[in-house]
Amino acid sequence: MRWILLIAFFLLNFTLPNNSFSQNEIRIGLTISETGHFSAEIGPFRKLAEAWADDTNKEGGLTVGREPFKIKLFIYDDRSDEATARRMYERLAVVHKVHFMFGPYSSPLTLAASTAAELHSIPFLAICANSPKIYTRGYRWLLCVIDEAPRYTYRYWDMIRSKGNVNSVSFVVEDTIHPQGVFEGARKLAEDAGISDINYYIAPPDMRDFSSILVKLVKDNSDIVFVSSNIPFAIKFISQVQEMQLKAKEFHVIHHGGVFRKALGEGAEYITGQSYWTPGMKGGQQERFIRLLKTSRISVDDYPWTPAYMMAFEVLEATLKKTGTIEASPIIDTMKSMEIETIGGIVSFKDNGAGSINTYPSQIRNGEYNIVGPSEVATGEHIYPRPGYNNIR
Amino acid sequence: MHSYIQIILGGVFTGSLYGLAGMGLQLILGTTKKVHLAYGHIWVLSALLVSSILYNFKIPVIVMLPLMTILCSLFGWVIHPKILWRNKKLTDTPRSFLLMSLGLALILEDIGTHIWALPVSAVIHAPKSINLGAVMIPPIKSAIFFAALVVACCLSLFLKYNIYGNALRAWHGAEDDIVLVGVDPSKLGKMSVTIGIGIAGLAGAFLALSYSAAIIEGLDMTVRSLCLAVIAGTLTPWRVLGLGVLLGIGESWISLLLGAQWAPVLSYSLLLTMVSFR
Repeated sequence: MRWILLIAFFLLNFTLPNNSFSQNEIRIGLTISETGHFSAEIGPFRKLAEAWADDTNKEGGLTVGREPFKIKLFIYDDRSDEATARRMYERLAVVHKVHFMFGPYSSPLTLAASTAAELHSIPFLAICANSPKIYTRGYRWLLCVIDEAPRYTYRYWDMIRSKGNVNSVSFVVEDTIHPQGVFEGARKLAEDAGISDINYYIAPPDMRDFSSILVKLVKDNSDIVFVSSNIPFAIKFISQVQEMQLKAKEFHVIHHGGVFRKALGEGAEYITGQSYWTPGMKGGQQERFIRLLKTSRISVDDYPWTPAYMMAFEVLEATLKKTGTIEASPIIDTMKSMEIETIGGIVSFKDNGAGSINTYPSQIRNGEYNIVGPSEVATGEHIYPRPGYNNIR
Repeated sequence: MHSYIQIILGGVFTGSLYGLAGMGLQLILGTTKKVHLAYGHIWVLSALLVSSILYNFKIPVIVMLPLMTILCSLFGWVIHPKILWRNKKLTDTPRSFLLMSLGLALILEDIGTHIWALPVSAVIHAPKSINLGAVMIPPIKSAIFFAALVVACCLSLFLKYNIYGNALRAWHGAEDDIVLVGVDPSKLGKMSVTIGIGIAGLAGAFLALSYSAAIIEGLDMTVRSLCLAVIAGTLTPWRVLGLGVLLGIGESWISLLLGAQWAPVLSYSLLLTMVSFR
């Protein structure tokens, strides 16, 4: 009996989570979709978060007012599943008693996870979650780095409006929540840009044969073919566009990264898309971001959402410096009132909690991404129409 | 007129790919009476492997196709030991094989996620389309159709005229009697999965060269092939291929007339109808 108690004592001490609070320590929790269908978007981001925490702790920790606080990070795999995400954020709140939470990837997971933060009054900074539904609930403890989905492409349409010679656009939309949300906004923005000839076609995410849509696009003969979809859908669609040698002055995809470019090779040239960041942009901790990418061995081409995570880290750092405390209410109230310079621009928050960060239109040229608008951040010129446009059918 | 031909062609090519893969699964299902839940994952994994090999090495596409077929056949031979068909407990309960194949599917998905975290494609290695008037013919997708015809022909001849093919058909018809006539069911089972998974390898190579692939699509591919295999009914490769092509054309026409979001309804409606009326 005595032995059993002794073994149980040692096991309890070494297996239960260590929730003892160290002095000057800030506990931060988040989930990463390391498995499941979102793992293709952010699978290795645990390394990025850990690189940020290690890098910060090496410098002494996060500056809270004037005091340094070591970061203690708690990361779980949400398996790209809403129920798991909710459960993990509950665990972060109840078991690990975190002071702050970063959100999971995607709107559906954030919708579920943010309820845990709201229930336990923990500041929650969403990162890649722009569905307007998330911000209609009147949550006090929820903020987001990025702007809502309908405004995702506003800079692209501002650029198109300034051209003055675009008259028609055809949308091809993947039938999932984020592309649909972006499309709804983009359609309105296209109308505001003065484009009256607008067509749209909705397709399931696992569609392989786009002949029926391509035939309609040939008939439309639109200036711009705008693909609102995730990367696998965009690859399949654009490769069939090239097979059929479809004519358009511009092809635009809302998500394009190294995967897209590598899959299509030369076929990706001159295709425009949306990027949060490319090397050469100014503002925020650019060098530090590049260093963290090297440390975590993540390529921003393959994982274009890394800048959004860096912006979230920058927001937290700036907020804690100002609040001077790790108490929940001052953190969230201060964060709401701030305008923070980050690598992707100024982050500020609307009354509903949504952020201000939006993507910039970018174009692939010679295998590299160039931000092509607005002029104050552009790293390259927007080539429109695509070269050779007049030579194809 | 040209656009209708293009749509029909698109449906034929996609349907041929599904039919090709469906033939492999139907061979396994029709002979062993066991559902192989890892089939789609093997199909997708071969696509991922082809993409990686073509990206890193200069191997001609014409060599990759038979190479992947042989590699996958070997893989099928190795991972399906005879004990799967000798062990009384496993042979008596198809659920055991179902669970084991599900386990294999999950393992392959995990391995695939670690090695290929991102979707891949080998379309850049496919030859450019041929312009016949206003109709575009992609050579690699045309090759899918002809390859599917060849596989259906070879499988049909094998099942009809080869001694082992006859044994596979007989096993389908009368499971217990096969042992009485001196046929080893474990040998037949191994042969069936070897050929079936080899066909999956060929389908995977075409998948990589024509579209894109991601490991998370594995289960969806299994379900699609299973739908075709079940709807086709008996062990007839031609029927599977024909149904696949019809399904592809049907989905293309539904996409054109009602909208692409309605296309997936066709295969599942057909499956429900066939299951209800059989």
